[in-house]
Amino acid sequence: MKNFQLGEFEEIVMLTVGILDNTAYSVAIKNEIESRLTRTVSMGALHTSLKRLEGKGYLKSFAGESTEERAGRPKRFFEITALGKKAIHHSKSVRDAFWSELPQTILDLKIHPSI
Amino acid sequence: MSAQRRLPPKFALNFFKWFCNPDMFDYIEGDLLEEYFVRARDLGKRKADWRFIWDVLLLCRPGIIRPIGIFSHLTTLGMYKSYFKIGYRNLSKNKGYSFINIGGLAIGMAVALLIGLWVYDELTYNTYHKNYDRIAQVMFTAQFEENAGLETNSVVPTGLGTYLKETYSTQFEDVVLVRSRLEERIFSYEEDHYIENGYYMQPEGAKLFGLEMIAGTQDGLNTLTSVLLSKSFSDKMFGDRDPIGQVVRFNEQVDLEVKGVYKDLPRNSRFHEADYFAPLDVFLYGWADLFVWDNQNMFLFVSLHEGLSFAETSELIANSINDNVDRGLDIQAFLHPMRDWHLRSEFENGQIVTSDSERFVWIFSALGIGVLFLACVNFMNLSTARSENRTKEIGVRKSMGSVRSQLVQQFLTESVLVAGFSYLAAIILIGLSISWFNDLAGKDIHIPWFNPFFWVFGLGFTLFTGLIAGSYPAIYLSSFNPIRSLKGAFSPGRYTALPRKALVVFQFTVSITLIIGTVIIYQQIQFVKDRPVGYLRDGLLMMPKVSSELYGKYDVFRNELLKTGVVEEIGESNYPLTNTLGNNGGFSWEGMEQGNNISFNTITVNHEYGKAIAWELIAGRDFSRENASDENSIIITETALEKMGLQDPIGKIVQTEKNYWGAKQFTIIGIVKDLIKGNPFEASTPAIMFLSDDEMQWQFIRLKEGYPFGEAIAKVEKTFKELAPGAYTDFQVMEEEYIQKFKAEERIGKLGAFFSSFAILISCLGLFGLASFLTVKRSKEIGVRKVLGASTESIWHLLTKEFVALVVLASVIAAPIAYYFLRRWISNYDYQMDISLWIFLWTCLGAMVITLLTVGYHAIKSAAANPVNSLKSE
Repeated sequence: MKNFQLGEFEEIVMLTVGILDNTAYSVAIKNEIESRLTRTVSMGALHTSLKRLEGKGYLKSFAGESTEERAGRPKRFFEITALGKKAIHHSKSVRDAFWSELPQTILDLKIHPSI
Repeated sequence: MSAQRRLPPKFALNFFKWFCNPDMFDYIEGDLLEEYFVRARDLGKRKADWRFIWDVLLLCRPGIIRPIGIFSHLTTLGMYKSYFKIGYRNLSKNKGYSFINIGGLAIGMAVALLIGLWVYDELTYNTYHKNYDRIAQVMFTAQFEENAGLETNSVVPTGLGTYLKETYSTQFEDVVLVRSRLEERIFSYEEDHYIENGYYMQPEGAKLFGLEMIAGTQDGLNTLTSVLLSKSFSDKMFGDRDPIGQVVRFNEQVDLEVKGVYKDLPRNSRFHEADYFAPLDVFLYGWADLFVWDNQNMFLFVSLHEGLSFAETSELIANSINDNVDRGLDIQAFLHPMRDWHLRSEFENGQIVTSDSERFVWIFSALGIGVLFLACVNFMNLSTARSENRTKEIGVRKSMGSVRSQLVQQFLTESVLVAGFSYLAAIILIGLSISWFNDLAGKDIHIPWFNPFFWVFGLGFTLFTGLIAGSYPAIYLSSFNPIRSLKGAFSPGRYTALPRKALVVFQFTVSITLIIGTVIIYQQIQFVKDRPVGYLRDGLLMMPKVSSELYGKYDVFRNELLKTGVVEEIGESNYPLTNTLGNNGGFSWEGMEQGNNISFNTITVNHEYGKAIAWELIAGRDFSRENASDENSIIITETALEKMGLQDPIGKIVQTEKNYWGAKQFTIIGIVKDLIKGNPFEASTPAIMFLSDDEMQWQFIRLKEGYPFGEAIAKVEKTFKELAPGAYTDFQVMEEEYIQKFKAEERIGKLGAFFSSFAILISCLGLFGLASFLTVKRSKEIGVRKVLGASTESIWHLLTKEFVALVVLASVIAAPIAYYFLRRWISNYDYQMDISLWIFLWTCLGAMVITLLTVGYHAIKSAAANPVNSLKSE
């Protein structure tokens, strides 16, 4: 079986691209992540990730039209490829497998952060 | 709305544009702007600006930064390997051309490197001494004569040294008095005598100057009977024996015990001539002499304590002499730091002025850079000229997708390759010529093979030269239009040869000037060498009577020497024939002009002196033993006669202020031709010869003609050994001594020859490049001419006339320049020759012949070529 490499941030980016479905371009992705996770995302980190994911073949991009609010610069939209879908599925199933094996007592403990 | 839109800081945006990968730039810039506009609206411009800058900075990360070079995703290493390979193939394909190119550059580099080493040596003078930064010499300035400027003097009384040592111990670590003159002394060990130069020095001197002791210790000089010897002298005297504790007889007066042997001082140390250091107390007579203020006979050296400045200490000690002795003068003492000793030791009116040695450093540096520059330009010329052969290659490369920067890289790589080869050749050249160069420059320079700095420098030097030399061909060749160069319709344009022509004219102007200069310098030297000196050098020996054993036996010596049959005559004088020391004024005579106070070179001779040196009497007679009144007679020289203005000199009376050999009134009995004893380039000094029968310090031995020189000298030596077995003898051959006086001038002459031969060589290379360029360019024209019936000679004529014109132009420029400078040079000398115009003509003709030979190669080659070959290729 093929080994899908996906870092935590990369996974989030992939999922966000999926959520935004067809309107996923860098600023939108960034805003989405920031609003969901209440953390700031630097443009540099995001672009590096996007480029790397595209390089791995998990995302593909196409150029959009230029718009006024970007002073005429084009947007680059991203969408998940079939390979990308497999990758996030794989990632999820791996986690699910872990979750299912996790004993209930450990989970309880996690609920009480005082320890 | 968009018109009023506030924009982010331009520099940040430009910076981003500079580093961002062009593939991603548009999108990311769009993102940045979009964010910025939102923030500017919500947070205000200032905050938005800061956030923008911050964003840009965070974008500086791999993946976003533009890759280095456009094709950097390919490894460039392979390409460079190919460049080297192609470069190497190109070099080995055209061996003759490569040889000229590499050779030319190598010579330029070798000259530049040699000069570099020379300049380095000049700049690092005295750095051998450990406390280089803290050592100074105490000197002083004073106005000795009214209306004259301040004079600077380095010779001080002993009192100053003692005073400074006692008073300023807070300033000076060591204060050392050294006898102000290199003293020549005889060392006797067992049966042998050695005459060596050295200094009398106080004991702390060894520590102050940081002498590196091989045996013994630095404080070896602390007793009255000790001596320090240099390694080479110690080896010469003691051989394998342990030098420490050996007792040597010093100057036939005292016994000194060897307490230390120091490593020979390097040639670029001020004290390099010293083969011994003897205690100063041997020179002085007792301790009292360390407190003398009215006799100047010492050098004074000090080392400052760590961290003190020369300037402040100078100020502190300025009045040390004034405070101790009143000489009616304002004497200002000061410190002259060791780092200034070599290049900055010329004083005028109390201030350091540019010295000749400093000027030479500048001139030489300029010459070195100039030679290297000319060699580089030649390299450019040759490469550019050869470029026609490579236009097709460039066309193919460009069609295959090479971009210009790659071609530039290719040609730079090739030229760095050539520079590398040249550097190796230059190193070999230097290795071969360094000893000759040392001879020429009077230096002891070594190539610092084991100094890593030298190699780093060499690498940088090679890269630099390669890049400079390759820059023009690289830019020029890479600019070719691929279509035109492939079609073969490439034409270099009408004016491309113009800079080359200008260069040839320039090079030949320099070369011709240098050649004329060298020839005239040599002629002037020869002219002076041929100058009549008033005595016969050939077969004349001169001997300083150093040993006491040689005195009191003049008659015995004379008789015995005459008996050997090889000696014609021997005579004596109180001065040698090689200097004009001993000058006195205070003479008067009948009809002397008022206020005439000529200083005469006054020497004392014995009866046989004249015959021994074979002086030439013009009038009157020589001293004679038959004539007792000759005690009060004098013989004067031609110049003396002229200066005195006497009409009928023989028998005239000369009065003296001073007492000479017990008399004050002398009769002139003879006039001799001028005796050239001092600098033969200068006017002869008026001289007066007195007579004495006392024995004097210099003996002159005239050998008989017709005996082999070696045999005659052996016989003379044998006689001396028999009569004075323990005496030190040093027979100086007058002919050789005289030649010594031309050393400085001959050095200039040799340097001139050195530079002019390289100049002409490099010029020829330049010419060769231009000739090959022009003949290749005209090969079709030549083909057509030949087809139409032109003869080989006419084509040869056609091709060479252009160059002849260039060289004629160069000659026309060079001749007046050379004349001007040589006129000035020659006017430095009193005894000067006339500059003959023939030299200019011959030199220019010579340059022409060289030109024809250089150009002729190409001209004949293309004139004799089959026109079919040049016409069929398109």
